[in-house]
Amino acid sequence: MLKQKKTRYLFMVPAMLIYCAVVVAPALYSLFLSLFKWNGLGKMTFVGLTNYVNLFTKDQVFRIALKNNLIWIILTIVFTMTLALLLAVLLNRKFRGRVVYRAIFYFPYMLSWVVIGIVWRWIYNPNIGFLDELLHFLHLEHLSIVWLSEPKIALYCVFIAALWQGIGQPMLYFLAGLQGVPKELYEAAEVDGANKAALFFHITIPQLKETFVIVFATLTIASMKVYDVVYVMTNGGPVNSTQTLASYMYSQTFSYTNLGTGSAIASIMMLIMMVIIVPYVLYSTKED
Amino acid sequence: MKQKTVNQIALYTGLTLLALIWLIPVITVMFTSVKSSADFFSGMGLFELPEELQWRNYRNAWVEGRLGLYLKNGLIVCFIKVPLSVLFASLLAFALTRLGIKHSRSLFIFVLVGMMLPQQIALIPLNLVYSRLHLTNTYLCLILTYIGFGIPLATMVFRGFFAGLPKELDEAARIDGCGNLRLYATIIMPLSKPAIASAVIMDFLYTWNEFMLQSVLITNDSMKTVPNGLLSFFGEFTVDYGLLNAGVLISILPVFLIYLMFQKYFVSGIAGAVKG
Amino acid sequence: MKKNGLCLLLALALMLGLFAGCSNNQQGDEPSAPPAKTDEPATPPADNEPADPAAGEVTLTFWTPTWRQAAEEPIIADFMEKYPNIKIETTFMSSDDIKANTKIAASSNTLPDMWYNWGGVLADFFAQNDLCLDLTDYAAGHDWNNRFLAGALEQVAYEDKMVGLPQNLVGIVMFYRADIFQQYNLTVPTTLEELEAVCDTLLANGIIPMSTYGNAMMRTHEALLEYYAGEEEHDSLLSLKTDWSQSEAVTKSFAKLKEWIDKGYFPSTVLTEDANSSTMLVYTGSAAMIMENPGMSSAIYANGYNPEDYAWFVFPTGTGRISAYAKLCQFNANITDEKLEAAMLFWDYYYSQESITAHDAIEQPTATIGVELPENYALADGMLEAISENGSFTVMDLKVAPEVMSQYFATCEAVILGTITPDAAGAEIQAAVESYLANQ
Repeated sequence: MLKQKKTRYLFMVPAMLIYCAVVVAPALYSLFLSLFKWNGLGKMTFVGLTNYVNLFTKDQVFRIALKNNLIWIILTIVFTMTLALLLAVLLNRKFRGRVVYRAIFYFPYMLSWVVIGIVWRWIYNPNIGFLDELLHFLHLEHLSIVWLSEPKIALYCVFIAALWQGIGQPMLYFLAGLQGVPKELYEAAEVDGANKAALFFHITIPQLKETFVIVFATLTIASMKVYDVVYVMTNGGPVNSTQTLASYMYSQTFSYTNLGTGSAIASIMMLIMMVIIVPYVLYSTKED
Repeated sequence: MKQKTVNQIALYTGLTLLALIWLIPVITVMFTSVKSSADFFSGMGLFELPEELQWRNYRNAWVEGRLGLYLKNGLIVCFIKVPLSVLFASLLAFALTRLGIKHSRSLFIFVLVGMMLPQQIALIPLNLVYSRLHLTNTYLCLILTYIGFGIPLATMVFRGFFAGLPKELDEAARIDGCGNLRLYATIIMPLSKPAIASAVIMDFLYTWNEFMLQSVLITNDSMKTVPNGLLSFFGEFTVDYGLLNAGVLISILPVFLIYLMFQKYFVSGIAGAVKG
Repeated sequence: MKKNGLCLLLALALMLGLFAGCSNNQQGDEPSAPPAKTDEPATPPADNEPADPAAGEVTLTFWTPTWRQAAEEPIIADFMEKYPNIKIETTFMSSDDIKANTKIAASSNTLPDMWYNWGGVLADFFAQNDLCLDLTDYAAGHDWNNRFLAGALEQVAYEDKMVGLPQNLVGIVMFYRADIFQQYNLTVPTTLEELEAVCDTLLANGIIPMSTYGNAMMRTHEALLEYYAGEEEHDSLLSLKTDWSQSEAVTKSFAKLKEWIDKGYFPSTVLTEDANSSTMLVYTGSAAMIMENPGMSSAIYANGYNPEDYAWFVFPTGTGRISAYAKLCQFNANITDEKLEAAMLFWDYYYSQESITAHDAIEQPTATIGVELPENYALADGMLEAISENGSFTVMDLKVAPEVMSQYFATCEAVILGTITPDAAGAEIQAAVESYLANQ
């Protein structure tokens, strides 16, 4: 037994070593850079928290981006997570063709963003777009607008494309999680006369506690880092209405070569994610 | 029995409707992949097929886009990286859930934080270090980096699944004199096929599609993987839509095959894992 | 030199430890330690002879855009066949990657021997930081004044440095459908009023007068700015010396733009169109005009349209000046004389009449004097002459810092959407100018 106790840390070594070298070190470096003014070359000037202060007090675009990311998180948790769970539960039932349905919902997740951006811009295009043909068909022409040019709704239009593309991943995690739920639990409950809804809320959801941690964390992180879909569909416009922290960070770092400000945005992003995710994880993984 | 049939019909109708919505953009991609640029510029609708299907878009994407070479590079990286990643992450998750390590929750959160780092910000330090070590333009640097960035997600998947497996399993095994390694290899992993399947699918997809790190770390054209290869279909301001869509459809074949191979491990619940 | 910080040392230490066991794998021939500094100007090479074979192999690394892959691969192959002792290792990158990756490489000292750039502020970054070779002496020694167009040489100068070798001189002009103009008896407008009259006629006949897309709206707006501000004020605005919020020309140009939008001179979808769909409107005849670069000529040809249905004119800016920029190749400041000599041989070959005849995919018109346009660029004939006769101003997004341009694009969109009035536009941009200048 003593030998077993000693070797148990060895299980963590390969993963932790690579992880620290490749991920943690650059993360710390970025945190460190956020305290400097630096263009990537030449002299670094220590400026303390100035980069952070400027972002929060002076930077209009940063504020819009921050707000958009928070909206995006809420939309993702409410719509993407719920729909993914629903699909997983339905597609976990035994019926003919479920493999095909699963593949259909997962398929968009494999496509490259460059193609998704093009196709969804077509869908929203009032001249050739599918959406407007549909409205026409339903005699709702008056609702037709230039979808992606409306600052108030552009973000939501982009989100729908992201929902379509991203549903496959959480669905897959829920499916994997559902495999871990012992059948006996359902059988026992059914004997007790519980209905479908009761089974879902009293067995499925609690049994998926650990899967929810994965889904919640990955979705929150993905929402906070959302970049590609916005870049290919609206490039942050119109009038910055779809700007996100990741796209703004990219501009600051690589277009404006303000590495300090870019790193500060990255650090703020990480901090926000931690504030949202860590309490949830701590709560969910509490030992009984 | 009647109720069951009604339910079945409702299930099929609902799912089919939803699936159709999901398929519309996919069909657009497929239709586009057999159109020529002239078809676009003549203002052809999204759901019309041209009279002459341009299958040569696929051929051109393969030959001119050199997808064969990029596919080979991508496969080499994936086939070395994904198994290693799954192995390392599952070992870590095993230690975190079943070996009674102190502060295992804090360690888990430590691993989680890595996912939160925007990859763009890591580009500069990674490029600096790799170029000092003369590791740019090698598969090794890609594999190491991708393992690092893939570990948090894979660890989460395994940790979540392992945590759901009953503790009684371990106790029984320990009584039989199982060591840590045997417990991992002969009891836990065989039960975790759904977790392995989703980890492999997700990790493969991430590795296959990653291009930001790759575009910086690999400057030798013959070492590039697929996503960067696809970029050659872009003009300075314009895109050949047909060619691009054909290229994308070819490029997802390996991922789709991996998905199909592993998805069969999602089979409606484990039975008999808990006895008594 | 660079201060890498504690954390990087940590990373280095960790990675070193990690790689110690497996570092004998695949040692590529990537750039090794920076070569010895050569501070003296490059010695003029013998122009007509291949590099001395006794000097051994020279390998050049070259980063260039993917959209030139089809054109440049055969050129490079032919060149290497001609000069077997010179090897060119090319990396093709997307536009975004080439912008970001050259900056990343700059901060880790891994820039290639030569790389593509759009010029303007993007190229100046490398000059300001002494990362690119100053070609002033080389140009003087090699008669560049008679080899390259004066307009192009002007565009590659930054302060007293010459930041690269000019490849193309690009002007933005108004392409139009000659057949549609003929159908409605329209003549090429020479004043803004005439242009508006043309637009009104087209509009009355159900044709969108001018197609454009998203950020390309800048092309129309900067022409209007030139019209209202004149040469001097326009240049002064672009170099951020004149206050945008105090400029009447800024207000007037935005007001005109908004007026045109409201009249329907542009497609209603202007903000969401992309380069492809906006040219498509012209190809299908839904729209009659578009502000484009000479690439439009080869696109018309490549897509199988009749070039005779198309022609171009200079936007009536009043001053006659044309918005222009030069695409260029920059060289590593640490390049050795031997490599530079090989690189120049390559560029001599690239833009020689021999190569241009053999490779019709080369982007045209080039900045090299005396090169004939191939058939697919026939429509671009006369553009270079127009630029040199009329004079040019640097296209705005290459003259003004990206920070300010972001705000400019957002302001432009806001004016188009009507969320701000044209007279508020200047103040918004000026705020960005001031925060940019304060940051310098």
